[in-house]
Amino acid sequence: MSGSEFSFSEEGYSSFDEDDGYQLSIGDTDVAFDPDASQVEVKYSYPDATTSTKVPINRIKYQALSYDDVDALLTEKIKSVNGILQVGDDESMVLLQKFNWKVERLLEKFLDNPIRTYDSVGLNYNAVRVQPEKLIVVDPHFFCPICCSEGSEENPLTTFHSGGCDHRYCVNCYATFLKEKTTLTCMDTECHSVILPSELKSLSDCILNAESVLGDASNGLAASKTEASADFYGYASDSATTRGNDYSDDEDAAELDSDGEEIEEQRYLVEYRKRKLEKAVQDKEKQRNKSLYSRYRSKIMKDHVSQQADFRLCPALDCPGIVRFIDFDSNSASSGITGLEQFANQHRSFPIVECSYNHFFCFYCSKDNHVPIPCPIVKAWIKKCKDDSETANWIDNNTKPCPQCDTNIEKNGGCNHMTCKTCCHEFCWICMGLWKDHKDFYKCNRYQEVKDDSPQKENSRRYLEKYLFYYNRFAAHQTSFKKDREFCSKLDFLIQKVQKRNKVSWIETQFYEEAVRILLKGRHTLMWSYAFLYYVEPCRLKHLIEDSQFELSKAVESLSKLIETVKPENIIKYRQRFIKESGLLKSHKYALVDICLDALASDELLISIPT
Amino acid sequence: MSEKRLLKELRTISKELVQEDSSLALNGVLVLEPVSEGDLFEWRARIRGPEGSCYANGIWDLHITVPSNYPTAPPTFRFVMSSERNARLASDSPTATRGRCLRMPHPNVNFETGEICLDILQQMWTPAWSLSSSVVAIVMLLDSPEPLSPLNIDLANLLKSGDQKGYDDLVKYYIERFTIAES
Repeated sequence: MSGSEFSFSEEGYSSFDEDDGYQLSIGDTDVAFDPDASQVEVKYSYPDATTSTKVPINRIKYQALSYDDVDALLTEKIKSVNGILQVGDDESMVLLQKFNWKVERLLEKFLDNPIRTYDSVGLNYNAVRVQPEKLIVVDPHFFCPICCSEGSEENPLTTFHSGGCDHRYCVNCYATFLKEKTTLTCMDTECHSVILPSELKSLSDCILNAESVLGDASNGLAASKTEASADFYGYASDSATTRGNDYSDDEDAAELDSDGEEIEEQRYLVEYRKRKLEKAVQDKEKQRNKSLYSRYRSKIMKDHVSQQADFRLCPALDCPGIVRFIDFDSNSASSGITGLEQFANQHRSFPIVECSYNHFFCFYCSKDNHVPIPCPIVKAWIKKCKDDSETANWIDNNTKPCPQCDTNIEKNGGCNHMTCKTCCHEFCWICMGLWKDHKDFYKCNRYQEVKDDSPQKENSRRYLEKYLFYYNRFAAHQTSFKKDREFCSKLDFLIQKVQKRNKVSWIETQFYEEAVRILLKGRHTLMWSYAFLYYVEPCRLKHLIEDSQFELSKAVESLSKLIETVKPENIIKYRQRFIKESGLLKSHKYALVDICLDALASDELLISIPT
Repeated sequence: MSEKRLLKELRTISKELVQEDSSLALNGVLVLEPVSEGDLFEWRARIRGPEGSCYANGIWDLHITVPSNYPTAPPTFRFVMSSERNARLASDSPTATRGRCLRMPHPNVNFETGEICLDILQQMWTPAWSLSSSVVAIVMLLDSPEPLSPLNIDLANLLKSGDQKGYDDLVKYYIERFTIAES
């Protein structure tokens, strides 16, 4: 399934816009964040507006943004704030960061008392900042108190100091100190002078230059760049040698086959190119981590994004994708949904979004793509499954969830006054109550009786059996899913071998890859459907879901067997069967999701989640 | 990098400890040295409570663990406590005048483990701090407790409710009770 299925054109978006002309009020609404400002395509969290039985589906509208898009938004935000404050982009950024990116709060404080606001972030209102380039001084007689290295006439030390003070240290020590930080200050113990972003850039450039003189960084960078492009063009020249020009190939195929297949093949080709480009982007991301300044910038950006309620970082490992919430669709609007929590909890909907790097995740709970089940069930299920595992035990014993945002917090020392890193909620570690209420006296050392309900043993045994029934099936599919995914990662290589062996073009082997992908997605849906059914009370709808689930599991097993038994070198012979079975699996998957959606929308379905 | 820096610090410290007007000596730092000669990453310190405070008569030992990426990361300081049994022995034996105290009664120190909550040793750490300046900072902490981020809730409560006398007396009582004579 390609991402294009989920996408809607710009015109489509604007016509919907007229239907639901209301503004969402999650988090801090900002002047700088105008949804029309960016040209990124608006997508929906589910492809269809209704199920096959015309039950409306609640969806959200979102944009999958890249690092550069959000970076541009951030720059714009800083510029717009500076437009009001007139203190310089650098200073505006430092101020904004200190105020957790809340523009209104900053403006209020600043216009009230600019000097005090400046002081609170460690800036001096009346100071004249030195040009960033002048902060780097090469000194043959310098002794760095941090690393204790000494400059000499032949080997002078390069030093750096902030624009607001003259505490000099060698550039390497400064860089190590600033590397992991987001609040940049002078290293001196008494001095809290702020280092502005432009000053950091000057330091970062200085270090990059020093490295390129050594020849490390610059060579590595150039090499990986040419490698990436060679990889990309290598594909084109490769297929040209085996089968002649790609394009004429397509045209031949078009003459022989039906029009539908030609479109299919075009799609495969587009997807292949897209994937190669993605790899190049990921390489770029690695480069980004190299320089001190770009690391800082990307950290600031992530910091900024995580403070905004309508942005989410893609939870996939090392993925730089960011998804931005635009609005609820017209269905949700007519059912009176105004907040994500309501959307996910009361209306049992799941805002599954896709980031620019083809990772699907839930916008509300930031978990894996859990179609067809709603977030509260996912949360309950994951917690239940982890209850016995070692990690869960550890988390249980060593961490407590933040009372406001549920982030697990480990207390690795220090006092009991906790401030959640994610939501800035201040609370007491002992009683988990608001820190505000502790100002006068600690009440949390008073023991409170916990009323204990006596456990009903017979019942709990039955519950356990029921749980194990669903869990074993869930776990079995999870294991298979992981194995299939490993297989999927070797797929590129396998297909290349098949191409060489059977002298066929890359496009002609795409049905195989597509089949594996469909299998993966089918298994995933099947897996979650077991977790879903565990919480559903027996009723007519449950039987319907179970029937559909049975069909899907048959289709999954059959395709899985086919992929397993047919050796890659023979796949061309079995082409028709692969296409047929994967088509079948796909339709069964949609049928199951459809039925689940129908059931969730109806009042008949009872879900019991223990609290 | 860390060895070079630690060696340099060791040299400065041994010079400073013998001078009577150095900041170490003035702030009641009696000992600051590596635990064994071959290892620069484990240190010990002995401090005297600041004059004029309720800690004035106490002497405490500190154990210092220096991480391998020092001074990028801060060293860990811990008051050396003794086992429950030793502590009880101490309270049974006649009070010694210049012995070592086996507990640190302080709002920002954990009474059982000796763990210290001090911002400069955590998020406010910069490599410009050194072992000697950190120890001095700990001595200063004794006289200026921060009851808003407590590890010893009872003592913090006394301070917060404004009972300075009660606080002083309780601290003095603990110091007396847990001080043993040096053999």
